[in-house]
Amino acid sequence: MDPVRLIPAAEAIPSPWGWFEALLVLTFALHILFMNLTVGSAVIAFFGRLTGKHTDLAHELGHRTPTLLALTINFGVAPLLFVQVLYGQFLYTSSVLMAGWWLSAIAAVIIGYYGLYVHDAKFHSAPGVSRLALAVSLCFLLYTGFLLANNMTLMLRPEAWTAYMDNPRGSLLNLSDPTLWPRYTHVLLAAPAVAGLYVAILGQKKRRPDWVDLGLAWFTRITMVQILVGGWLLMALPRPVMLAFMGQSPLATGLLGAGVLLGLAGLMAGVQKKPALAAVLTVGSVLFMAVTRSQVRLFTLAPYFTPASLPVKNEITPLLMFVVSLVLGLAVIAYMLKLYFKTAPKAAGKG
Amino acid sequence: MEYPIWHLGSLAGGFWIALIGTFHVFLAHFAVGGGLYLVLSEIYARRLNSPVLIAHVKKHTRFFLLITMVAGGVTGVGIWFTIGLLSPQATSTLIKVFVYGFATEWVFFLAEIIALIIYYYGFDHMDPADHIRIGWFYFLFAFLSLFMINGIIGFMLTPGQWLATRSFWDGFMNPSFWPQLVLRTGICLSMAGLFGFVTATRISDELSRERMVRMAAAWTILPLIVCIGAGWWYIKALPLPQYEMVMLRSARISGFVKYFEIFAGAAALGALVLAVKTPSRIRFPLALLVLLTGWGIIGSFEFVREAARKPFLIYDHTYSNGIRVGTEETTSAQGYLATAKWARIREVTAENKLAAGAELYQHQCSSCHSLGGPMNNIKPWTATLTQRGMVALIGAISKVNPAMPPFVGNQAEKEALASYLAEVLGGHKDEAQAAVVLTGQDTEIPAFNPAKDEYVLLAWPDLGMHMVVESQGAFSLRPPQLELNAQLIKRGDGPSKITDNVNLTYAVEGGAASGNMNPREGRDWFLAQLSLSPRNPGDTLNPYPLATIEARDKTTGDILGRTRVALPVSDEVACANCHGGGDRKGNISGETGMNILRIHDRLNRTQLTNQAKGGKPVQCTSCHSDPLTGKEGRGDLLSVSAALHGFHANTLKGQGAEACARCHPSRPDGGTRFQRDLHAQAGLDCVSCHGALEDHALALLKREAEAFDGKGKRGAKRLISQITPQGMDKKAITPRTAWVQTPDCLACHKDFGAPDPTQAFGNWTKKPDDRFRYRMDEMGALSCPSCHGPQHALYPSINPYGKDRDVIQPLQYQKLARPLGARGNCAMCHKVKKDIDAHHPNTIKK
Repeated sequence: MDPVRLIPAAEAIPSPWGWFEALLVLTFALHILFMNLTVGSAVIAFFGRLTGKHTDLAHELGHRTPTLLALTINFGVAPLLFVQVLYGQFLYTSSVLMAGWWLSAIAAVIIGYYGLYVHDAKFHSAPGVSRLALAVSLCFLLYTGFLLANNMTLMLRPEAWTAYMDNPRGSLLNLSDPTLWPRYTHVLLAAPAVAGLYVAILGQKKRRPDWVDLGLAWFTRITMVQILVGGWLLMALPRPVMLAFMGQSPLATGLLGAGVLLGLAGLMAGVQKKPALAAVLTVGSVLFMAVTRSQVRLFTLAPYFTPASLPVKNEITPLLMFVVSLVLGLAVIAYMLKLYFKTAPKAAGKG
Repeated sequence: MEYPIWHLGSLAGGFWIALIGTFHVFLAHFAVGGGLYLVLSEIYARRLNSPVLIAHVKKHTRFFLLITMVAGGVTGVGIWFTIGLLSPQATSTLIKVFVYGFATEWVFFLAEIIALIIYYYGFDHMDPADHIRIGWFYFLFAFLSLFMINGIIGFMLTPGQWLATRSFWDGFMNPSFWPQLVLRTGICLSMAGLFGFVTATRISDELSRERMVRMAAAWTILPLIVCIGAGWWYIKALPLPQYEMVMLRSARISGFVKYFEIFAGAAALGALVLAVKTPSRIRFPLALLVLLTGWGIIGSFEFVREAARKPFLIYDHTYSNGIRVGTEETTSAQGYLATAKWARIREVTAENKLAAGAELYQHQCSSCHSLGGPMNNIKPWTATLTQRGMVALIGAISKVNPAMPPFVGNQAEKEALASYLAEVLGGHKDEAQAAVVLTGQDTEIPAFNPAKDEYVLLAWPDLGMHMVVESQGAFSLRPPQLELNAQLIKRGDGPSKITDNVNLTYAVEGGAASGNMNPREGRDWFLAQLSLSPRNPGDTLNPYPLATIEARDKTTGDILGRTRVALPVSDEVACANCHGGGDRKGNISGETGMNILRIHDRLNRTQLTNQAKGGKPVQCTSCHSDPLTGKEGRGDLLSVSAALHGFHANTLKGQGAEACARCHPSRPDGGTRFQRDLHAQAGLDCVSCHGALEDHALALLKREAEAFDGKGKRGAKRLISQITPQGMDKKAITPRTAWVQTPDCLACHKDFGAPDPTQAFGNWTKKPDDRFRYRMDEMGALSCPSCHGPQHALYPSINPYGKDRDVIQPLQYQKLARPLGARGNCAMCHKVKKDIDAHHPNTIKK
């Protein structure tokens, strides 16, 4: 069966596609950074409790994870919206193919979320329960990430969709995709690396050199592994897509190169024990990697679809409403944070 | 059409959206109202300067955060996931039309959670005035989130001008925007009260506890009053079709509305009970219980809203099953399976018929129906219709039930779906309708000696067929009652009609009925009204029992005349053909009757099934008038004839006389075959005079639409608008009152001349006495059927139970199976030959 025949028709969008792609990449980068902080903090806290060496750090991190997860979810909503605008016909399809799994993500996140609260609340009063809650929470959050990786890759593979003809029960996964595991691993490993930097910065603020060392150790070691995993992911990409990043498309190659270089620079800064600089470089790297991810999507879908082909029915005033509310919203958020930090206890960051 | 379908069995039919959706809106409304509750409680606590209350507000904030931000927030994303899975097509439209609306809502959501986190974590150390300010910001953004989503949800039910302009603002600020916003705001505040109980009942300090509990009670009850007004406004603001769906048509909605009232009542009552001081071990569990009523309130409201939107996801734009409005015709012509991108079977064949039906079911039905699950289980309905009935229903589904979208597909697909529903889900296969083998019997013709006999005794039933429409234990439309007429004529040059000093009696064969006949009022003949079973003692059909009529001299007792006549009566009504439950006897079994009542209940919000189950079979004419029997019904409803024909004109459309035979005993190979007269022999059928079912129904409905100064009886205009006439303009159809008007014989037989059959339909009799069965000849001496036989059995009728059975009198008096007096047989009554057409022109054929 010709998979092209299966691709649903798309409807008009209210602004040129570039707007949505930019919003998608930007909000996705924020989502992934908050995800890294949440999951990475949970991982480091878990190890801290497991080894018993860094219980105080685990407490500090554990106290912040629910808030970080709240922001992760919030910043996940925006890219989920924009990806539907541009690639809805692909995403809805892959979602239906793995419907049962996909829906279970909701329950998984709720369990993971409450687990983080229980971990924090019972940290001292019931350490066993608290540890267990953290472990459970981590499992469910990692599971959620796995589902997201499945869906985001399955939506790019109309050639795999024909499996639906034999199994329409929504229980498919994208396990046959060679990019699935490197992609999941790549995104996942970033979590303790980024959180490591966070720990290092926290250590600097709180004058805990041991936290700084620990955080940088997490960051540098995992980032080294990331170079290998990144290479694995590149090699796993469909050949035409891979070649685009190997020079065939100067733009794609340049963007990936910038991401890699920023990552390496971050690693260097980490080795040199400059967590703040490393953090800035890493955020930059994540941004470029988010753009690269969007390039992968464009190249992979190129045989089937390009968002530039979507009909546009321009509507300015709703866009204006969004921009105005975004500006005002951010201003109010800044104002609220200012009110909060006016009297914030020195020891605690936000949350 | 464009997207794959998630094949769900028992958990289909919107189960997931109902579960996740109602749970989310329950918490989300709390998230809005609870925000105001928090900040006002804090102001209150600080004004009282009560550390206990301030601590309580902080505790409540934590509870609020854990409930709304975690479960509430994540299930909100869950709704997105779910609608994307269950209705990708409509979700895609919503996202693309309202992307900036959603994006704006996302900004508010971000600000909302940041405000809440700051509010909670800054509770102790922030300056109280700043802290309260954060609380207000939280409420502002929470309310703005509601504001945005309210527009998008309202759009789905009432897209208003958007349908024409496709403009964001027309869709967003839609006709139900404001009333829905007020209603939802009311619900939000009430939810805040309900959730308030959960923490308030656990305050240990008594004074503070009672203060907060009473406050929660006020929050619960007062907004409910606002809800009543806003709910009324909301319903009033709905465009007519949605309004009618809520107020008149949908049986399901009335249930949901009742639930809404019950839950709201329970919430108010629960709040009052909680406000009374009781021990905390009772009070706290009770608070949790009362809290659940909130889920009921919001859940039933959302169900009403969604049911009002049926059969659409986006009104007039996308059907409930994701099919786009306006694509039905082309898709049906090309075949649904061939057109739907994700159909796993592309064409119906003899081999894959059931599998193709299952595929069609998943594509077109499973979005609202489950297979044995908690949501809208389709199985009970499949058990009550045969495959034949399913085909008929599917072809008219959107007209029969306005909550259903039309079936999209070709005839083969319609039949495949029907087979799947009936055979696989319903577990029954249609039996071929076997031809009934009838054996004709000889009929004894009474003797008549034209040379010696002084009297001619004529007898005729009022109708050529009495339909007994009755289902044992379920309903009764018409009992087996009929009228027998008899006229005694004294022969002579000027014959006279004898009514004095004679006794007329009748006796039906097999002792089925017997008795005296009485003079008919206003006429010079006799009448008996009798009840007659169409069944033999062995329960076999006996649709033409013979009656023997005798006239005797009152004084001497001498027999003056004796004749026989068939009294046509039949209960052969093939409802079971479509409605199932048949027991092969050909009449309406009790089970068939209950199946029919169930449909009536569903479509008309009645409780007839329960009534019948309670031992009180339904009398159709207690609501619907029946001009034949003179029953007046309720007055505002259609007559039985208009209702039944009007309804079935949709399900049995596009047919000829075979449609009539689905319900009337006219099947050419059936057990009655009542259409047996001269007209039938000439090749005319029901449709020739009455019109095709659609045309016939329209004629009856148009009369009903004239009632109440043109406002029409309920449903008349709707049915008229749904029916497409066969082969003529709707406007050209002449209104007709059932039974009171009949096709006028003289329209075809102009001046009693050679007929022009094209004139039969639409030229109805004007006055009741113009009808064949009451009409008198031009001398006022004889009525039409006395010489011609009853309608549908006009001489020379050939009875399927014996060729002479319907022509006993012509054979008796003139040895000729023709109308009495035909071929110059005037001497039959006049003793001599006549040459004047005294009875009507053309009596004596030249």
